[in-house]
Amino acid sequence: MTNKRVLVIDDEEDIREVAKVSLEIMAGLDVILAGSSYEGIQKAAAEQPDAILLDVMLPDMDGVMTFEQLQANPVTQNIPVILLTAKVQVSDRQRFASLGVRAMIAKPFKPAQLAQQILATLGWE
Amino acid sequence: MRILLVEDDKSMVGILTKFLLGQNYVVDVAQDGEVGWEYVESVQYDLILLDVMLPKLDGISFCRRLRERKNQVLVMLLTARDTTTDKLLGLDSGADDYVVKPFNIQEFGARIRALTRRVSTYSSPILTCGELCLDSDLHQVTYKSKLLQFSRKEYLLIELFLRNQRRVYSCQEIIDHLWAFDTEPPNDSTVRSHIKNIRRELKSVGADDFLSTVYGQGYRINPTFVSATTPNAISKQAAISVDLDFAQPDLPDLTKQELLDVSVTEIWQQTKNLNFERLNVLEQFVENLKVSIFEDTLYQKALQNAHKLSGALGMFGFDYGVTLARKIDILLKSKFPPLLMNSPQADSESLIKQVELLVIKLRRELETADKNNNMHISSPISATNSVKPTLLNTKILVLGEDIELLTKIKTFFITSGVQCICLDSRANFWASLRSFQPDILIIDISIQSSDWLDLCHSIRIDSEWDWLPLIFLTASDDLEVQQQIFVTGADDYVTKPIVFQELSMRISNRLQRIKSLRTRVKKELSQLNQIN
Repeated sequence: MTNKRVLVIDDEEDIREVAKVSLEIMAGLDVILAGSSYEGIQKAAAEQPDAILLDVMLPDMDGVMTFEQLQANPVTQNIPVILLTAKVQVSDRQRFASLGVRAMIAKPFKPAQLAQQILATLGWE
Repeated sequence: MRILLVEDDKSMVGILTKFLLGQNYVVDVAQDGEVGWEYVESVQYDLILLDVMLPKLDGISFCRRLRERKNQVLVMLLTARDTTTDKLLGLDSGADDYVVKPFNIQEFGARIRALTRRVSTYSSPILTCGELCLDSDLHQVTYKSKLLQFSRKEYLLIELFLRNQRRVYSCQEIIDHLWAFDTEPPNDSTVRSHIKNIRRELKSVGADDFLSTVYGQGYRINPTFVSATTPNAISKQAAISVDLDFAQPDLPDLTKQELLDVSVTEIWQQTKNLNFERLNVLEQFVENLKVSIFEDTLYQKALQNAHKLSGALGMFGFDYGVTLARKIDILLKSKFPPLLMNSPQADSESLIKQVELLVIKLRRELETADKNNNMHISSPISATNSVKPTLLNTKILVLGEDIELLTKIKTFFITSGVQCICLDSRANFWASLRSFQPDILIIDISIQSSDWLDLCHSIRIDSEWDWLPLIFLTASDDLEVQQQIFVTGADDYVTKPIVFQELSMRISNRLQRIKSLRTRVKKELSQLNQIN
């Protein structure tokens, strides 16, 4: 499970940090952090992570638009994206799924389980 | 009880196995569907815990195959898939329950108990036969109230007999129930030795003939001890067993969990001001509203911050804080724009008051929890040691239409020392409220929606009862229903199927907070009186 790298894009410092320790400690993943969509898109292209954990509500550009930009770039379009969201309505889930998002993880997440969810979703177990 | 866990995630296997062994179950683990199926074909399990996404044979197909072969073993699906479609697919495949990961380990345990009670005639954790009594919560056996000392294997052997009071067990059948696959099976003399020890201990209290030998067949409870009221057809599914010699679970995961807890606590200390700043925005918004200033920018900021609080606090274990933040979020989203633009002043004031109260509660919750270092981020495993809420002498009024559910709720509360009245219609509601004077009201909203909406509204505008804590039971996890619940003035909700431990915990928390608030108000009034 080691050496896989996940890019976490979230504008909230506490959420970024908790996601980071969860993925590092519980799954042995390497974590790259980005605090905005812009920074996330840049880092995704430069660092080529194995997966991206993307917050839906970002101030500079929302998660869906960020996802679309990642998809539009051949360098990043194949990186699986998992959305982190507090929106749980069925319509939202369907919309995100239809866009090609790999999975959605609901906020608030439990630190102990976040890593397991991501590993399971990506088949990295 | 012998459980088969079919799960390919090793860390999950470690956590669940540790927990299940602690709960006195025998556990076999299969890491793919095909191995799991082989186990099912060789042993009769009481419960199968089945991951959905499994290598070789997925959980849904596994479950369908079981039912096609007329195997009615209890199945609980464990999955990260939580859409209604997924749940329907899982349940339609023949599963008895569906648990979405991540789950609280305590809730998981309670669900297993609830599920196994369905096939047992015992709805209580206390098993009895004549004067012999086994409390599966306390792991104690008494005879005429005298505590008996047994090894854990002997304890489980007694439990096996108590759950199947008329059944004869051969040594081999006992081994099948009490020893898991990956331990060296004992020979018959080991079983006989355990039986001998049990008899010796029972003899000390005058019940040495409690277990009788059926020559050529095995052992059973002496029929003279089996009371006439004892059920004679307790399900085959209800045999209980455990293996203490089972290999230790994955300890490195526990260490990881502890490390994670420490790290998350440190992050809270470093970033908690973010959450207090989020709260400040909400407070500023409310202060402005109170002097009739409504700024759209601040409203949008308040919305964002309520949303962020509900997303962040749960990571740090402030579950009640999440509930409060969600209520604020919902009220701001659903009620503010139309009300502030169109509605009469009185309604606006009442709404502002509701939000203000929630914001005050949220600040208290965060400050108290932070001051007391009262975070609940610890691992599911350490959570197993949490103390049950004490609700002794609490008065609970329950309103619903589902007689079966009402009966279960009443049985649970009465046996826990709680005074509980259940009403299956609104006809006598107000009279019962006044005569019973409950501490808390629970409403099952499977009753007609207009009924509970009206009722909730009536309670909230009644000067005598507007303080009454209100908890809803709902089968829906739909956000709109949740919004409706909070908007109508509910304090909390619990989703069905009801996990009684969760329900009692929520009631306990609610009552504790009311008590704290009352004490605080009393103190402040007393200080005011002194000043005057």
